Amino acid sequence: MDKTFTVALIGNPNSGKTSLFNILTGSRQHVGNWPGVTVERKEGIARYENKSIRIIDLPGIYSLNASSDDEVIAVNYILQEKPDIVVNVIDSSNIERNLYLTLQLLEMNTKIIIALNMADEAEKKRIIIDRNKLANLLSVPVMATVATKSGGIKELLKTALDMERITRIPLRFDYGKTANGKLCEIADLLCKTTSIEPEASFLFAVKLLEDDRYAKDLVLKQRADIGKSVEAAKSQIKEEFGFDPEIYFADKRYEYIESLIRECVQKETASTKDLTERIDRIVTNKWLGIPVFFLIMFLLYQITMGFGNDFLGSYVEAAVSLLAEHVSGLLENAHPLLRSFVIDAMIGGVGSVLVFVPLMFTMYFLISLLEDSGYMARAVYVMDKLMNAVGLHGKTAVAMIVGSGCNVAGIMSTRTLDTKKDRMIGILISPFISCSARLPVYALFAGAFFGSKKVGIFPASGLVVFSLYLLGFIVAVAVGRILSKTVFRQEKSYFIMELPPYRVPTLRSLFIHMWEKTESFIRKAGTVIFGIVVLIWALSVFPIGVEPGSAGSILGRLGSLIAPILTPAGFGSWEATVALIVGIGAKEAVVATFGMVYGTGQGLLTNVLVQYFTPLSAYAFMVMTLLYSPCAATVGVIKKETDSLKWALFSIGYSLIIGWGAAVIVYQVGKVLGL
Amino acid sequence: MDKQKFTLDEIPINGSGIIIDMQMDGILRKKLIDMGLVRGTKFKVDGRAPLGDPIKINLRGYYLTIRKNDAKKIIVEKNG
Repeated sequence: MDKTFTVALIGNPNSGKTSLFNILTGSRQHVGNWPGVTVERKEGIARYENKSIRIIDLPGIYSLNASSDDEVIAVNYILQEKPDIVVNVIDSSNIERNLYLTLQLLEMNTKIIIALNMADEAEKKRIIIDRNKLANLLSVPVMATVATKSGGIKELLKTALDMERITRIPLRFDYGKTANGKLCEIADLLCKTTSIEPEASFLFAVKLLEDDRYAKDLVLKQRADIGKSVEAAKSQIKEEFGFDPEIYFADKRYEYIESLIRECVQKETASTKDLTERIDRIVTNKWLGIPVFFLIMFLLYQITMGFGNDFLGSYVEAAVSLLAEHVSGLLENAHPLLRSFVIDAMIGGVGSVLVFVPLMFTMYFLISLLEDSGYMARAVYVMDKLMNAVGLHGKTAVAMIVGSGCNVAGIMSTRTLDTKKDRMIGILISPFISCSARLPVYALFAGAFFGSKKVGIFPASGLVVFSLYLLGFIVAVAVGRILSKTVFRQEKSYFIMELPPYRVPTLRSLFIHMWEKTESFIRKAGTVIFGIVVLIWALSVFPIGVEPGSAGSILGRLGSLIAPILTPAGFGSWEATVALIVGIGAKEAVVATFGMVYGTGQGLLTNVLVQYFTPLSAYAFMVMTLLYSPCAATVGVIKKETDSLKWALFSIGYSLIIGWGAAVIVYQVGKVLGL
Repeated sequence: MDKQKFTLDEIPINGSGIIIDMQMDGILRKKLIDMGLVRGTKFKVDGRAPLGDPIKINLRGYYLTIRKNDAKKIIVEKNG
């Protein structure tokens, strides 16, 4: 085999597709991007009897209508890259709606296996599916899998490999005599006049009549005149049945699905309320719903700071300073410049970032837990009205929560928003959300100035950090409202979302998700941040002869130039200015820069800062760090996702003004109040 | 059985019915079709979010949430 046997997984969101992917590929997986877009592409290798099988995880989608980017990716992948097998993952306990995607897949010219996933859950709900009958009716293999417990995995892989040599004829679904006649006519036309393969021509005819964006783009670019035949067929169907083909075809498909369900599925009506309903009665309760949401968010930050940062983080910190000590001893006789480079730039710089890895692990673990268990969807549902009151979408609330891990991830998650208005606003306000890269800055300042104090049972530092998160949220919402009432006033928004059943996530998949998300941060720490640290180190020791990191160095002079602008905010020193300049590259580098310019290690930094900042100016500095300019990576993603340099530059400009303004207000008001 | 026409947002909690028309087009209609809402689909209104909006309905064995404003465009027949 010169080409690795490839299996693509496709299915509805919440069908357990990702668990299946994780079980199939184990640790042999990697995350990349789909060509041309920034949606994550997951790929891995499964093994069956000494054979390697490439597994592709397609985005979770409800249909192949190509109305969202995710759907376009899936359609494009199946039609263009032609995987050997497509495994359609179906949530057995929700088979009826899941089969809609299946019918669309069956119309494609690709080999298909249906995996009835979560067979155990269906059993518990007393839903009995006759697999053999379903397989016969649809003429494709139907397997039962329990992804969370690796049930049916070997059988699935074996069936996939066995299908290598057989061919499959795409389903020619019966849409009724008139419609089928029209579809055949157009399919014929497509075969004769375009590059579309004969096997796919019927599918494309269906898609054209349904006004499918992808099919129209592909066909009408080649032959604009086919558009006329399509329009004629559309109006004829509309005349005969009273509906657009889009509705008429959907009706026919659901009619067929309902008959499949009658033939193959037995459902005993359960009398007892299931777990999902019982949990929902509390977390979406009229009075408790919103308090529960805020309680969960509060706990998320408290656990991240208390357990992740204070507890776990201290071990990493100890290890880094031990390493620095040890290496310092080894380099005793080396050139001072080399020693400074290794200790301050390499170990100090990267070490100060690695200290925050435990915190990130903790936060991503908890966010994955909220996502995988099904609570995130409830958060969207509960928050939508509140968000909608200020012109935002419930899903924007979740984008903000995800963004509190990393703004880049938050911006990516706005892809689940269907309308342009909601997406653009979601993207533009995401940078105001406090991400985990800002946490090192808060951790340093809050620890130095508020560390020993307590408010009730909570440490004051935790409350300071929480107040910054809250401020970021408030600014994001306020800016969102302004954008919604001005720039995007004309655009429409809607809200349609599934509430999936609650599920106990497996520890394994939580750890995989946690690792995937943290890994990219560590990689960044190893490359981008390291590069910045070295650059800053160089700027701080040159021109040769100056005291490293002093006002006379290149860095110091640059800082002194801009510092006066920051004086009204209480931190007009060149050191603070330099830290902020560097922070535009990556916010987590702010701490490393302070270590550099004050010429101290991580541990001593706390003592030095107290000489340069008051608690008030420290707080103003944290506000500035929170709001001013998105980091380089975020700006890059904004440009890519909005497909516009203008919006990326806009996001830098307006956040600089807002950040500066907020810091000045905090400092000046605080001074008047005598803080 | 007595059957009257309503819009989806007018059905009280625990009320049920059948969808008879969707008065919208474009991407919203496509999305609703993908989620299993077509003529003849049976549904039950299961609840509302804490602030009264969106609405939570049960259809085809799962839960769907939809804003009142969008539900206004869905014409239904009420059972009972």
